[in-house]
Amino acid sequence: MKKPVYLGELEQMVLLAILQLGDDAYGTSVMEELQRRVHRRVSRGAMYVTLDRLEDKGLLTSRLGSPTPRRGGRPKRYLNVSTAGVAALRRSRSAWMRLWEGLDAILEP
Amino acid sequence: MNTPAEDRKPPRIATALLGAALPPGAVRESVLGDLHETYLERAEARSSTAAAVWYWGQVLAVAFRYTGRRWRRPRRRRDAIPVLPGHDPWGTPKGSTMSNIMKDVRFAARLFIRTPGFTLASVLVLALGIGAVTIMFSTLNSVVLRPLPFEDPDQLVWVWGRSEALQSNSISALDYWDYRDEADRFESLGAVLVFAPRVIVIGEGEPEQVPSTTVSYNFFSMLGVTPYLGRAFRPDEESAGAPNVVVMSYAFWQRRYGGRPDLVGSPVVVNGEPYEVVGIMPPGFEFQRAIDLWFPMQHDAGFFTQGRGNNNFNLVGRLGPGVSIAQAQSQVDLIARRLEETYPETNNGWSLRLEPLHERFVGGARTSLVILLGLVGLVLVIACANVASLSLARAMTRNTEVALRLSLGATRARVISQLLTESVLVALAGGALGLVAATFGIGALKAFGPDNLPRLETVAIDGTVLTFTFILSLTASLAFGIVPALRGTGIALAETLKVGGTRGTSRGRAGFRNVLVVGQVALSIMLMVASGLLIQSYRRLQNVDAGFVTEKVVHAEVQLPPWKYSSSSQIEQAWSELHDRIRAVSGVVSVGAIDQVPIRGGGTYNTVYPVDRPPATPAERAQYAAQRRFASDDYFATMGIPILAGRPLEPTDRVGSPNVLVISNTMAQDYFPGENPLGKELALWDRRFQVVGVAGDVREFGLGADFPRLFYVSSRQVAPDHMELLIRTAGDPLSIMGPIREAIWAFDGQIPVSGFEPMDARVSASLAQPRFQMFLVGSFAVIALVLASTGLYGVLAFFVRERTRELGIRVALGARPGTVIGLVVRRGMALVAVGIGAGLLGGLAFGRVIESLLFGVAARDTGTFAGVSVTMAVVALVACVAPALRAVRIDPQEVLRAE
Repeated sequence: MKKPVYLGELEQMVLLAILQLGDDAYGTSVMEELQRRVHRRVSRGAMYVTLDRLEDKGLLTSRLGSPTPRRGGRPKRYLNVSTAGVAALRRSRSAWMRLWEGLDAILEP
Repeated sequence: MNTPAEDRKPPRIATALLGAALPPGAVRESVLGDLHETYLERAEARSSTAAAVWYWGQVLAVAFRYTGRRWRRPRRRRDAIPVLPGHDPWGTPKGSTMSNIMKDVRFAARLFIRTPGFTLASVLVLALGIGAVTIMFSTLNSVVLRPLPFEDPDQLVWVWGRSEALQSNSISALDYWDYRDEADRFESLGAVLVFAPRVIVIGEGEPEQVPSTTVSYNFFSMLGVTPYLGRAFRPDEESAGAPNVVVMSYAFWQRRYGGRPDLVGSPVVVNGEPYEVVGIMPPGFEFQRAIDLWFPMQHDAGFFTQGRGNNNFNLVGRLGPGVSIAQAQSQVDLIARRLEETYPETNNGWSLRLEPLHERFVGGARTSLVILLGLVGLVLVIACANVASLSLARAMTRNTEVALRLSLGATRARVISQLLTESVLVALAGGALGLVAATFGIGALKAFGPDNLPRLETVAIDGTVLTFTFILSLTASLAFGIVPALRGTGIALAETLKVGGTRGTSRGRAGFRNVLVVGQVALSIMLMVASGLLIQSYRRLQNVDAGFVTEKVVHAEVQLPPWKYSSSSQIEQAWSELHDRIRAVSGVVSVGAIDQVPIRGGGTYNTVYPVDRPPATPAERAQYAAQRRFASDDYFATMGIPILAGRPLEPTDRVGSPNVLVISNTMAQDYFPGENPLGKELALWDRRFQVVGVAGDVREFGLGADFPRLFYVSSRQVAPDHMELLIRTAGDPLSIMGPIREAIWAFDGQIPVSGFEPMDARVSASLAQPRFQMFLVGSFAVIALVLASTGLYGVLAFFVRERTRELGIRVALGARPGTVIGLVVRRGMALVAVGIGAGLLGGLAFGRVIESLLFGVAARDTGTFAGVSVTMAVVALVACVAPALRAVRIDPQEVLRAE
């Protein structure tokens, strides 16, 4: 089966949050970023499953940081949006923009 | 006090659970790491408990997402009968045992997701049972089973002083030193003061009153505990006139001195005298009770270490390598005999009795905890019966599936193993949930459990408990799974495979379910009997006449700073001044004082005998022991203790005036049966005392304990610097506590006041243990009742469904609703009646077991048995109603059409 052409809403949000966070993107910080910027509360389970799915699809890559005592000696999984991920975001954005075209008059408050 | 943040750990069980649910590798590590980090942040921002609750929530949510993901992948068509792989009809080779198990597990998991109702009900019921047992077991484990926190604790023994009258007494310092010198079967023999006198520490901040005690120089090394800083005592510090030294607790050092390392070697001022701090004990070190300062016991230093028969010390020894208790006992027996010969006056009839230290510390808690564990075990058995009943009901709906498998060539063993795998999974899920419940239950237990349960604060789920719960879950799975599995597979194939062929085999199963219901009812009755008896017993305890009136009496412990008040006249003067000032507070009716208030136990036995009948033999001498109190003249009036004959103590009974005693009624009857005790002379401490009054008996050692022989010495004749004040007030005692404290401090601002609380509260606190037992067993009984009645409901509902046709025909033939209801209710109540009968018989046998927990109520109390039976019958009747109503509502036309 062919991959879906467009990203889902949560997927988009997650990828964008990772890009916003730059070098400090990992599970918890992504959740916090979504909460902070768009008040979107995502459950931890949903977050991790989404990250796994995005990685399976090749839209993001991850590398393990070094373990710290504050994390019970466990590493961080730092996240990076892959080239394919950026391409998918771009595709989604242009799709939205085309759909928004000419509707400002109706939708502007 | 604060654990450094990095040392805090999120709940381990939760971590393990999530670890198992997550795919191994980077994902698992990073997810656990994220959670750990956030847990720490939350623990710092709020509390560890709040963070732990949050952590559990996150773990369950994440674990659910991941397991859901794993299980959903191999989704199949729902209407297909899953063919058990490895036994497919095409004869492909059998899989290995291991892969069969894995297949069984996967199959069972899928099945559970398809029948969430059954799964959820079974898991919850089991979690209730396993959780309750786990709570009790971890309590037993931490309080009783775990070794004491000393080096090689098995070698440690507690040493009682023993005479014919008293099996368990303390020992004098002089005797101790003799035993220590001679008893070489001990690696070392140490001593610790029976009391924990409060001493006053001044300098560097507010004056403070802290518990202290006196120990032999070798006490710490005997326990195998080395100081955290500095050193323990040296042998020469026991000799008379040695320099003042003290060892401090870690907690006090941290709290008062901020953990300054240079405190070791510096002086602190205790009771007005400088003492050099030579060592700090390690954090958490405690022997029997929390102590902040330890002093070495010194020859000829003060009252405590003087005189044989002045039994102020408890002895603890470490047996030499390879020495048994019996060997050490025979040695101390020899020494005791020699001491008897050397000091016949004081040591006649006295010897020592050795007891393992562990036994001494936790032996008292063991009986009641084992009984509670046994009772909670009944709850688990009921839970298993309940789940077995559910499984049997479900097995009927799976007849076709099982029959098909068997006919396609699966062996019976293979199918049984599949069914048992399902049981094991349910039990493990129940066990896991039970553990979660138990962690919360243990928190509640620590918060509300009785303070006098030793080591209660250490109760936790450890490896032992985890293993126990795991094995318990597996056992439970067999208990509730084996019969349904055997019955489920022992079916007649041809019959079952016919359409709708469930009828032929249901009879036997229904029979077994009936047995299960009867069993559940019977066990519930036993638990309810136990609970009823404990409630009754608690009620009686509450209504016991303590011998004094607690209402509107406030208690306060007062210590006169010894450096200010040293002579007896100064002390006497101070007490009477204090009394006057407190009495002047508006709302105060009277003030009394005593060195040891009743109820909490503790106190000293003294040898005291009639002057005209001195004991002739050691055995006789040993008979003359009674509890001694120092009391003020107005103690009796304040506490409402009646004077039965003669007079109470009076202000004129002071130093220089004739020595007098007031004795308790029990003592009067024991010492002077049939005689008038007034005017008799008693020998005490080589002095003569005249009995001037007989006071009413008082429950000195708790509401459930017998009246001791007790005598009161006038406090003015001995002038103790530490007393417990009792203040009777006209109105609400709580509102007057502030003014009383001010009155004391207006007299002298350096007098520490502690234990300031209404006497009612102290008496109520003494009932914490029975209250705790009553509450626990009561909850078990309620759980049991609920389980048993739902079990009954299930069986009846099934009965009605199974008999729909018969009932429909009856209704069609004109049976009235009453008849139909009667049919169902009679059926249910017949089971209940058998269950109640069996339960009552069980309760009779079982009563003996809990007899030791009861007070003032017979284990075969008829009222309790009757009340319990009626309660059970009423609840059971309610459980019958819904199925009975369903039977009435059967539409005969529909039933007949369906045929």
